[in-house]
Formats: sequence, C-alpha cells, structure tokens
Amino acid sequence: MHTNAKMAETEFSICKEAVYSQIFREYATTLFNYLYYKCGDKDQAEDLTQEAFMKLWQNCDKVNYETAKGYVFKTANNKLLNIYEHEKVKLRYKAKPQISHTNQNPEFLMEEKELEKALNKAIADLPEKQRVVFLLSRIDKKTYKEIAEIIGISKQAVEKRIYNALDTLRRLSGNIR
Amino acid sequence: MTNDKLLHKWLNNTLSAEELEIFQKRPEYDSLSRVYKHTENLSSPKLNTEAMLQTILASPKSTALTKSKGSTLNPPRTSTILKKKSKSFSKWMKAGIAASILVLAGYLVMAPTAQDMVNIQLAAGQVKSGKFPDDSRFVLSGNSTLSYDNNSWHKARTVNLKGEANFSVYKGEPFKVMTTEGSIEVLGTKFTVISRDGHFEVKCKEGSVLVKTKKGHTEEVLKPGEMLSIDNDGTFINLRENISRFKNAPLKDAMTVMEKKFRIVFYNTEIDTEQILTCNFQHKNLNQALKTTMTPLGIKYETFGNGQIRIFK
Repeated sequence: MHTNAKMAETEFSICKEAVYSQIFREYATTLFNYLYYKCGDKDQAEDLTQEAFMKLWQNCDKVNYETAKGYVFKTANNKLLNIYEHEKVKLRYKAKPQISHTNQNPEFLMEEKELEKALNKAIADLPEKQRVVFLLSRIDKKTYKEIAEIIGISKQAVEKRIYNALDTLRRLSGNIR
Repeated sequence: MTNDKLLHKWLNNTLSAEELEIFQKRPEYDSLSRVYKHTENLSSPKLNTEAMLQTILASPKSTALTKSKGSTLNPPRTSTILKKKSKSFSKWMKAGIAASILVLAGYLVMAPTAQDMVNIQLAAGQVKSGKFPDDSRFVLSGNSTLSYDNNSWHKARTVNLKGEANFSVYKGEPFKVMTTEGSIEVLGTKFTVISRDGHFEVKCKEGSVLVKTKKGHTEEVLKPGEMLSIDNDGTFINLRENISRFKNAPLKDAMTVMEKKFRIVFYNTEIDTEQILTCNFQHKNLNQALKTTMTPLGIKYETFGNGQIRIFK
C-alpha cells in the first residue's frame, strides 16, 4: 500500500507538464473570475492568477496533486489581501446582447436599461463576501458546495451570503418598477 | 430565513414542477425573476488561459516571475528594478544614523481581515515604537494608526498608515507604504516622506525609492539626493540629479535649488519670490537656468564675481 501511494504520487507529479496543464486548465478561469469578483480589476486578477499558478509550477515538487487547487487559491488570496485597494470596487460586466424584447415600447426599453444599470451598480456595491459568492453562483454556475470549497467557508455560510445578496437585489428590483 | 430551501433550489434550478408552482406564488417572485434574468446576461472578462499556461511553462523554474504580453506585473517587476539600482549595505541598526521620517496623512485604509493583522492606534500625544517581523522598526506618533499583516510580512512588507511614523527598513522584500496620496516602495533604504495638508513630498537619502502619486499620475524612481513633491493645488516639484522641474511652484523654491546646485547666493530687495512659475532647468549651465526661471517672469538678473546674483525688475 505504501509503495502504491508512492507510485501514485509520481504518477501525478505536478512537475509533469501534462499534469500541471490539466490542473491549470481546470482551475485558472475560476480563480481568475473569483479574484475579479473580489477586486473588480481585470489586470490585477490576471496578474494574481498568473502569479499563483507560477508559484505552483515553481513549487511543483512540494505540492500534492490533491492539494494543488487549494494551494493556488490560497496563494492568490494571500497576495490579494496584501494589495492596497481604497478605491470603491467598480465592476464592469460584459452584458451579452439581448436577443429579443417582447415589448418594443421605448419606455419599456428605457426602464430595462435603468434597471440593468441599477442592478449592476447594486451588485458592485454588495459587500465583497456576498458579491463573490453570488457571482460564482450566477456567472460561473458553481454549486454551493464548490463555492464553499473555493472560499474555504461552510455551505451554510454560502447560503447565508447568497440569501442576503438576493434579498438586497430583489428589493432594489422591486422598487424600480 | 437564510435556509430558505425553496429559494436556493430555485436559484440553482433544481426545483420540482410542484415546488416551482408554489414558489411562483410568492409576492416577491416577480422581482426575484428580474434579478435572475439580469444575472443571466452577465459574464466575466475573458481570460486567455492558453497564453498564460504557455508563459508559465516556458519560464525557467528558478527565476522571478515574468509576464506575458499585456499589463505590468507589479511587485516583482519593480523590485527587480530597485535591486539593480540600490546599493547594498549591511544592517545599520546600531549605526546611529538619523532614522527616516515617514509622515503620512490621508485616510486609513485597512486591508480586509487577513491572517494576523496588527493594528496600533494612538491618541494625540502618545508615541509607540515597535518592530516588524523582520526587525525593521517603526515609531508611531500621536494621532496615528498603523496596521500590517504579521503572517505575510516575509512575503510582502506592506504597511497601511494614517498620520505620522518613522521607519527604519532593512533590505529585503519590497517595503511598501500605502497612502491615498500615493504609494512608496523601498528595498532597504533611507527616505523622508512628508504628507500633510495636501502636500506630499518624498526625499531619498539612500538606496532608491519608487514613488507613485495618484494626483500627479507620476511614477518615479528617486535616487539619493532626489526628491519629488506634489500639492493639492497642483504644485509639482521634482529635483533630480541633473534637472529640476517646477510646476506651479513659488519662485523662491527654484531659487533655493539654484543656490544649492550652482553654489550661488541670490540678492533680492524688490522681487516677490512667492510668485508662481513653471519651468525646468538643467544643472549644468547657470545662465540657462537663470534665463529659464527669471525671464518668463520679467525678472532681470546681474551676476557678480563672488557667486552673488542680484535679481530686480
């Protein structure tokens, strides 16, 4: 059993390009999105993602395959925590073009735009904890379990943050009409 | 409330048909739907994963980080620059050299709750000295607050400061001080920073200092003897080894620099030296410098042999 475990270890050594690449392709986008939701800065999120994965590559002989994901997320998180940010988070979203409108009334379209703007602002204004969880759920379609793992909190904590985020947003949405 | 099972199921699209019917009867269903629809249209920025992967795999294992095309990778890049320029000097802890003075105004920015934040808050009249994990020192003045993360100090030495403090910095990882006026990054050096009442000034004494100001959108590396200052009212002064730059600065400041650089003394009885000017002058030619500073203001000057210069209308 002992030798099997050892074999498995070298089998999945992150220092092998193929193995590392698989890990990278699996988690890079999620890490990037997660960081982006946190800091609202695409360049910074990109830099941190690269730094974290670079660190994993450089320490490939010290990190287990199983803990690689946790390693990059933790590394990126720590780096972000050290970064100074006093500006209000301004998140920019790429809104996919709306395919159809059931009601072409200009007034209706105007209201839609107002709501869109207001909701985007409200999302950016959400407390970071809520925002990150909410967007990982809505944009990345992560399950609560996955989100809990990524952030390192309990599933209940995820539920609570989602609930609060939704509550804030739906109240706003209700007020606009 | 937060364990509203139906709500979470609805959000994750795992409601059964009957559950959905029940859920739709809720009064807030309409507004919830709008929020849901809205988020369906959101997407995050695109990340070129393949390019990043190739960059990482292509990089030599042991060296510092590099970045693929695009924006700069901040801390490692600047620390490389500083490493090249700064002189090496051994720990000067007991050398008795005047400590650097770091005075920062602006708003306190607290890093979000991290592993082990150290927070020190002083009321007026108090003073407190302390050590960072790497033995670099600080002396915090009254009416000031200082904070840093104990756990990640060995990776990145970042300090958030409001008010006034004195720092003695060992050579090591980039040492960063954050203020709203700008940021200062050093790699074991001596420097002075004054930030008070909208006036932000950095003077490098030893080593090199990377100054980034927000207002002036400036990013400069200062070598020993060089300084940079910027004010709320748009005054900008940059004194470098070979050239001095003034923007919206009082004439007397330029005169002081000229006196020092050219070893002259101004003699003046009638000129208002508070008047504002904008000019650059190099330090190699006194006449050029005089011409650049005085002539635009309509000031005449007369040179005497002993290094005295008289200015007059």
